Amino acid sequence: MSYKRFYVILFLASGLFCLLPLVLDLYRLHVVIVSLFYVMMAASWNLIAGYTGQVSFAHAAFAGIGAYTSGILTVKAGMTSWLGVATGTLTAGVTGLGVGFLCLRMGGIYLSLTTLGFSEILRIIITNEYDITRGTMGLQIPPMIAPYSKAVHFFILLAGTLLTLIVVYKIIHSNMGLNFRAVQNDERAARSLGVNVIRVRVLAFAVSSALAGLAGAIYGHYLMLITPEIPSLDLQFFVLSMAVIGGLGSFAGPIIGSFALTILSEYIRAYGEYHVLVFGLVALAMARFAPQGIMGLARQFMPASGVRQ
Amino acid sequence: MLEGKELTKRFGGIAALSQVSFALPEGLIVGLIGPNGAGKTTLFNSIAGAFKPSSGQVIFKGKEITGLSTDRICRRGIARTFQVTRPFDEMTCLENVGVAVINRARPVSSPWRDAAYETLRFVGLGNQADLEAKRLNLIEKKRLEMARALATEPSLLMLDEVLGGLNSREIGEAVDLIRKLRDEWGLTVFWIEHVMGAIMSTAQRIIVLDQGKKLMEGTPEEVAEDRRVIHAYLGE
Repeated sequence: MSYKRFYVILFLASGLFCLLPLVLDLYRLHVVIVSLFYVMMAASWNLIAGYTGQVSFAHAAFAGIGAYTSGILTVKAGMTSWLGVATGTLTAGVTGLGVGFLCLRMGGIYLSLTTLGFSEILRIIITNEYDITRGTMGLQIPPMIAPYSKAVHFFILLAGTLLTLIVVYKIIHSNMGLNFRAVQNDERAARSLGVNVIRVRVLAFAVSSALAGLAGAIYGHYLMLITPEIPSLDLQFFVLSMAVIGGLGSFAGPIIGSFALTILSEYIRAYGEYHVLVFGLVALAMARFAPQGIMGLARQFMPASGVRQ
Repeated sequence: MLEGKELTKRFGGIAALSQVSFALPEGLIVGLIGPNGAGKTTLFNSIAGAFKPSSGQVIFKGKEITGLSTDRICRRGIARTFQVTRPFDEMTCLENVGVAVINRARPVSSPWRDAAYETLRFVGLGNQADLEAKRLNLIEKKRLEMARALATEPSLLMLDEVLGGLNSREIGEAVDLIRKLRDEWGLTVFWIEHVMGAIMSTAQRIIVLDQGKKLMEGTPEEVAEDRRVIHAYLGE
């Protein structure tokens, strides 16, 4: 897909989205907003998992870092929400750089295990540092723009989503993106051609973490209440399912996956925690029978329609 | 140009390479031969940084490069091909070569696509530029491997059995290409090969390894007449 076509599609789609607050009731608008948050999460996770083959379990944790950094700074230090979000994004990115530097030399399963551990440590700290985070009670934080309006926050999340998608698109179509794919295809051959594999991975990890921080921070201000559910493994696996079911390593896959699963989960909400189980099973089945996800199936059945990216 | 000093590589208790010393003069094609398991690929891996030699030194253009990471050694000017080709399957030929172009020590001013396309044309893959690498046949994969190595702009090219599986016409073409690299590009070539006719008629010097040790070094004529080499290949 050419740059031009990408931007045309992106802005047409977001133009259509801009009409949504006029036609949707508040509940449905909420579902769309949650979907947008997940698009930001899944698309940025796809950047590392789909394009460099590094399965990190700390993506929700980085969203948590963004949300709590911004939340605490606005509540305790009186910062504006916008500055809070920027600081939260930056903090997540810098933490990502650190974690990446420490554990990306290992790669593979070790990366997954280390990020899993990191994620749990963070959740435990947030739960227990009651004085600062108010633990599982949740921290009440101000909205992005007061007085609170769902429609306004919808537009802010839409802007965040656009930003995330443009960043991801630009990266995967840059020299860095070429290196990402080389590393994923054959690490040893990539090294032999001068690719600094560690630097490529750490960079991808830091950018992806910063984007997760951005998503978490904005989402927190939309909810006005941040709890340890944001940096939880539940959320992590939800994001993972979305990316895998939508199509790992394709640009549109995580977008489709996020909307599909968020909307679906509203319908099966009545079954409580079982919906996570259902998604897990669907994700497993997809990984086994259609590893390219929905996008892969679309490509298979509509080869002529140009569904490539 | 490239110098190895008493290179030794042990895997557990087994010395795959022991005390191998050699010197490659600039601008020559130097063959590396020896029976299976002689340590040829191990020597390549030790030079290219795929693993660190247990002891000994590798000196390239007067500087020690022993134990540097593969990507840094590549940027110093040593490129290699693999015995079993390792293309980036899911990427087009152009992108395969592009990876080498964008990671050069001297960044290109023109778009990488142009430089990559030039290199593909040079090895005869101009028409396959937009084809995914997994769709290539064996010979084309070998050419692609060569193109990627060349696109890093090396001064030393290490070839690991590039002629394996080719028919005699294709061998002729490949040998012409390698000669051209020496004569027109001024490359030094270090070349592992089992196709004896080709390497004996192309290389100016030959190094023979056997059981991890350097058996001898000399011109192709000297090597062909040496009793030790004949024994190493044919046994007593």
